[in-house]
Amino acid sequence: MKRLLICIVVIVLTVGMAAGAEDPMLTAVEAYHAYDPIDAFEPPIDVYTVNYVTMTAAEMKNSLWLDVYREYLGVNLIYKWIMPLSQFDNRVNAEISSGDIPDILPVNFVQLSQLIDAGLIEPLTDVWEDGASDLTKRMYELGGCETSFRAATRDGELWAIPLVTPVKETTRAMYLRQDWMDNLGMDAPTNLEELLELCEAFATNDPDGDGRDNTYAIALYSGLWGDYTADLSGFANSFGAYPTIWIEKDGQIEYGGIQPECKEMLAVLADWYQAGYIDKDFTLYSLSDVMDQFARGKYGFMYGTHIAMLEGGQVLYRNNPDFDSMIVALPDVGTDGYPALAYDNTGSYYVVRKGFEHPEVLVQLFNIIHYFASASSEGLTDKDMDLTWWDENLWTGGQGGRFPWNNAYLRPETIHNNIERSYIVQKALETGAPEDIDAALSTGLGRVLYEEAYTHMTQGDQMRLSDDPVTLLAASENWLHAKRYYHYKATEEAYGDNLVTDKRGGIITDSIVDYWESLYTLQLTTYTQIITGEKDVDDFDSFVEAFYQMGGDIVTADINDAYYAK
Amino acid sequence: MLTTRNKPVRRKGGIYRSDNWAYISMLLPTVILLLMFNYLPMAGLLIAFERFIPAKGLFSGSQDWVGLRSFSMAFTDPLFPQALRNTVFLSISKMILYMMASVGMAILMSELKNSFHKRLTQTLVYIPHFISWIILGSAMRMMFASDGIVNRLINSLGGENVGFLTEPGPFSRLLIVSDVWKEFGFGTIIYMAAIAGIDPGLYEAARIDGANKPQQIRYVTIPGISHIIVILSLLNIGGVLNSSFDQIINLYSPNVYQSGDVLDTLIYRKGIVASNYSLATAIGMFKGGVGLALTSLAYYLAYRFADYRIF
Repeated sequence: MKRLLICIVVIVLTVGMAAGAEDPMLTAVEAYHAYDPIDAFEPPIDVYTVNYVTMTAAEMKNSLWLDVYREYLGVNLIYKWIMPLSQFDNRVNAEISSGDIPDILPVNFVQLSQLIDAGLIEPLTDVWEDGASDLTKRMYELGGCETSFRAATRDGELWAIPLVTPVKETTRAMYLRQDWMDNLGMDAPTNLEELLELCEAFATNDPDGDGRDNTYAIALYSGLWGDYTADLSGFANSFGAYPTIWIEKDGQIEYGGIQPECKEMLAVLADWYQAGYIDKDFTLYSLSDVMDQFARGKYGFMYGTHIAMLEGGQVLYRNNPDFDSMIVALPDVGTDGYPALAYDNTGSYYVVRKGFEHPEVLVQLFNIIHYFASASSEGLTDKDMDLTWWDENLWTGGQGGRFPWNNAYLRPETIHNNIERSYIVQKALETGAPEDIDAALSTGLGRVLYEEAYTHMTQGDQMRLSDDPVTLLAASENWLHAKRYYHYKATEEAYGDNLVTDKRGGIITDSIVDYWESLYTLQLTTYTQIITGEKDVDDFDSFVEAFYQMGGDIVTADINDAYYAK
Repeated sequence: MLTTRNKPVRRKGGIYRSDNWAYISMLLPTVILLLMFNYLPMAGLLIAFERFIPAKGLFSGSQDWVGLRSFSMAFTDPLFPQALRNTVFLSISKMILYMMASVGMAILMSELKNSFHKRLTQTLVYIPHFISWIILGSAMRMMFASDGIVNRLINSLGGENVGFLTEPGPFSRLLIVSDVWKEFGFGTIIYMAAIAGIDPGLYEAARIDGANKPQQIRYVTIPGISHIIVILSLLNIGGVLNSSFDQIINLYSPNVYQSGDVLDTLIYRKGIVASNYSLATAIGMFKGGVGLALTSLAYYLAYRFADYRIF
């Protein structure tokens, strides 16, 4: 929604320029074919696939992107079905067990290995080597996609194209209430001790100044971790605890959630809960509930990725003119501390049905979106031409706001090149030098970011006080994007390459399928109960014992075997 | 009708009677739906005995046959006995309370003489039945939160905060009471019908013998509907392992699994969330087996003690 509203503003501004030009789509098609000399299928071929819900089904089927695929590649992409994300995996399982899969199918890792076993998909090694453009490959390299490709490879063949999020975009930072800290006269914490002090102050010293004891320190929800915001694993990181991943310890792979560091962390949280620093109802909150509560100004800080302030923070920004956030690296984490947690960065694996005549179509779909996002900054095309088409039609809403990004069939996060782009844009904003601004404006995405951040800097305060909801919405969007730079800056500087990832990676064993759900439930229940005081902190030790008795020993052994066999 | 009567009719009864075909064909859509959605899917029970991998196909025969492995996995899973215990406890408590509340309400309402008041009350107690748990669940999460209206009331009366949704003890009580509150109004319908069927002459006789209202209820109304009470209670036994999934899934959280996790939610987490289809099917099949046995027992008991028969 918000995107659309800003889009409309931009379209109104740019529509005048476009009106006089020739059909920009045809010009763009020519340019694309000059860059990537492929023969578009004539007549267009039908390619069947499936998708999960990003917009309404009608909007998805009417997407401008589908026109682009048809014009550029000669491919009619047809959705066999569209499902909500929550049911997507199960529907794909049903599809797979019927043996009749569509031409292109996004699957998870377990499904991928089953499909390879069952011989239902085409190998893609040659298709990727010959078909992927240099640009696509470079963006994948920048994203750190090695592990994903290794996971998709078996017996020397590549079986799927992974959809990758750049590794450094998965690291967590701490999001603090700047306005509360100003009220209290406190600084951002740089180590755990200061964090604890700040926590106490947030919960007890009435940081919002309304004279009531209605504030809490940390935002938590019932799922505890794993999502883009209100993520407890960021807090755990400051203890050197990794409750959600498998870590390497003394030459062995062990589960992070049963390590003594987690007990330390839980002891602190249990104290906080007892002292009233944590919302008593956090066990009831879903992620959207906790964001609602954040938007009401209940919490002093939380942990998340670069979009942590999406929703909750944005609403608070609109509701409370004093609100501002401060983004800092996790205390005691980074080059001088514990390695920072980076999440598994593979979204899904795109496979091609065995016997499909044109497996190269899949790679072309990847090429085209990378081209649109970044070709001009790489000096591959005429900048102005590219921007005209890209900005006006695809990125920023296009004809009647057909929601291009959400409507794209493939949405690899690699195309954003977020980190590099943020630095370029920030440099342009700081120096104001024409060549820096030029560099920032050289991509469609860069231009959006620059414009949003620039608007925030110059007119943000004024827009924020507007009575007009549309302006206010746009202001919060600008603010969000302007702030993202600080996330990258904080995390890049502090963490460097001292990252830790899940050692389990793509390993999947029978024992994981058999035991993991119960083990994970046990972990989640025990953690929650220790925090809420339902159980004593020392019950952590019996949890560790139970973990091994309930099949954790078998799972650990299997994962070790698989990991060291690689 | 006249023509039918004049024709020689074979006195065989049941479905063989020619004039029953119209009724039987009306039943057909229901039977087809029942076959499609309740009987045909039973073929899928096969996967309880396999190590089911979707990519190998449902009936391709290439799945690994593992016999009762999934069942032994299920029964040794520490979450299973807890879920079973919770299911049985919640169902039986709900059943008893539900029966008492419905009967009590039906008796009270049957004594109401003002018909406007009667209808109003009736409507008010039915309404919750038509509200889905999705909506009721979120309303309850607000009302029973630590700073919700209920706890504020308790606080203002000088009581301590009660973690209705966060502590295992209060949580199970909340589940029972809220479910009974939601459904008992609907249950009164059948009891009110039963009370309406009691011969008014009995009340008259009781009054002449000098019975007051409580005595009339004690000696006429309750014996008059005891038959229905027994039958409905017996028939409910078959559903003892069906706990109200909609209710619990909307209210529970890991902190209260100890008293709120039931077989249905366990199956949901194992099967749908974790995609462990074989294990979830095994637990589901166990549930179905127990349900079948209990239902058969209940029908037998109903036949034996209340002379109720379906065939």
